[in-house]
Amino acid sequence: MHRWLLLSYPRDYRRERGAEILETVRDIAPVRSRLRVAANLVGHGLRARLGRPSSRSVGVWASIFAMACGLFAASFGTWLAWLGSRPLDHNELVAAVGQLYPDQSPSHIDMDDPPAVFIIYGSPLSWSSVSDLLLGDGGEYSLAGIGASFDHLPADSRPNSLAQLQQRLQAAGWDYSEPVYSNAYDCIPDDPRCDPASIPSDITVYAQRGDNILEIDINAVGTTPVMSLAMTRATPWEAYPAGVVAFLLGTLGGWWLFGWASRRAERSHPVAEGLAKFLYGFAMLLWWAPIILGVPQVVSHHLGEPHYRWHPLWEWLGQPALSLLFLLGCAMLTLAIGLAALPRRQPADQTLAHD
Amino acid sequence: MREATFLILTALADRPRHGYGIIQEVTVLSGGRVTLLPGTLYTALDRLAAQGLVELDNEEVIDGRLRRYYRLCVNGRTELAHQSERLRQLASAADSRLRTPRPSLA
Repeated sequence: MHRWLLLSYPRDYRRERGAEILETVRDIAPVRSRLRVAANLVGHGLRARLGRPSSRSVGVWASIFAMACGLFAASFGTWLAWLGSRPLDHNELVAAVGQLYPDQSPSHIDMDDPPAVFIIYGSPLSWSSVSDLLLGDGGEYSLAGIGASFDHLPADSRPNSLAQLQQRLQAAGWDYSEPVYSNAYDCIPDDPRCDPASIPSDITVYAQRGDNILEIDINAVGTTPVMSLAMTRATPWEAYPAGVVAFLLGTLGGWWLFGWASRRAERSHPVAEGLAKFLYGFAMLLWWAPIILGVPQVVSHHLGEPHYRWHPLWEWLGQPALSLLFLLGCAMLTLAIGLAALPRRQPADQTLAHD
Repeated sequence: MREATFLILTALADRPRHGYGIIQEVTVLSGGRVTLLPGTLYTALDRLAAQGLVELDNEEVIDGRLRRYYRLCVNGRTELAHQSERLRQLASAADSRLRTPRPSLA
């Protein structure tokens, strides 16, 4: 049974010491829990993959890299799941608007379905949008939506329009949130000229029915249109298992890759090894800085207003807004791996196991 | 130095031992408190070898079973003595404080 557990060890290590380890496992089998022994072998095999047996920190560096790989892989996995989601249907928007406001005609309603699940400046992602993606406008890459708008309030005032909207949403089977008020601007509370009651504000209500999400805005007085509705898709259920599986695979893959490079670099020329370490460190800075900066902002945003859909995972990682940093990090890691792959010098000393 | 590492060095202090022998000896030395598992043992041996404290002594096949014996290097013996002295000083300091009468609380 335990032979397959040695797969967590590097191949050369297994070849050199596998038989010895298995004999020891066989010796202690009568007095030790098989589960404990198995977990112990897997854990230490993963450590052995990193090489550098006397290093206390290599596990930390490997974890940082593996975790980042897992998160980016999970983003990719959820993105793939999103691509397979049910396309938006403008007919459903028409039906929803007609059900909520049968006595009114919208001034505008989208009659075409979006060209893709995610769009950037209204178009699917393509080579022509790469420069937008990499050079500061990556945040424009977002979930596609379809919309409608009204030039007149359905009721005689904004509060009445809001109350009517909430009643009609409930009657039509929509689950809706508490309204969110967004001021057009803020003023200093202690300033005598500040009158919060006079500040124009938008009112936003979020609603969900099935896999459709509606965002209804009753806009500030003097704004055109006075009311707008946007329909988007809820997160497909496949995104969750896809994200988890991709995270696990990405983490394991990252650990494997780091281990391979670490063992190779350990026996490379000191200059090459030092340069590889520098490139790795800088790459991790480029990868993790957007995450560390982005997560608190997204958390704050999520806590600040109701959401029927989590923001896509890549937005939590600061992508694609900071995709240029991610790509630069990839380039540095590629160089580091290249340095690790250089021909190695022969070890001068005897070790118990070597690659 | 972790207790398990200290015990491995101690187990090898008197004669070379193979993996299972080290595990058994560590259990005896610790009075049953420390029970090494194979993964932990061989990771520790790799680290100690990289630090130049232990080395391979010999290997043999008995009844078709591979046995590799490890021994303490000179550096390992020195390090064990140093750690032993450190622990002895700490234990002595603790004993001394425990024997010092405590002022009674008013």
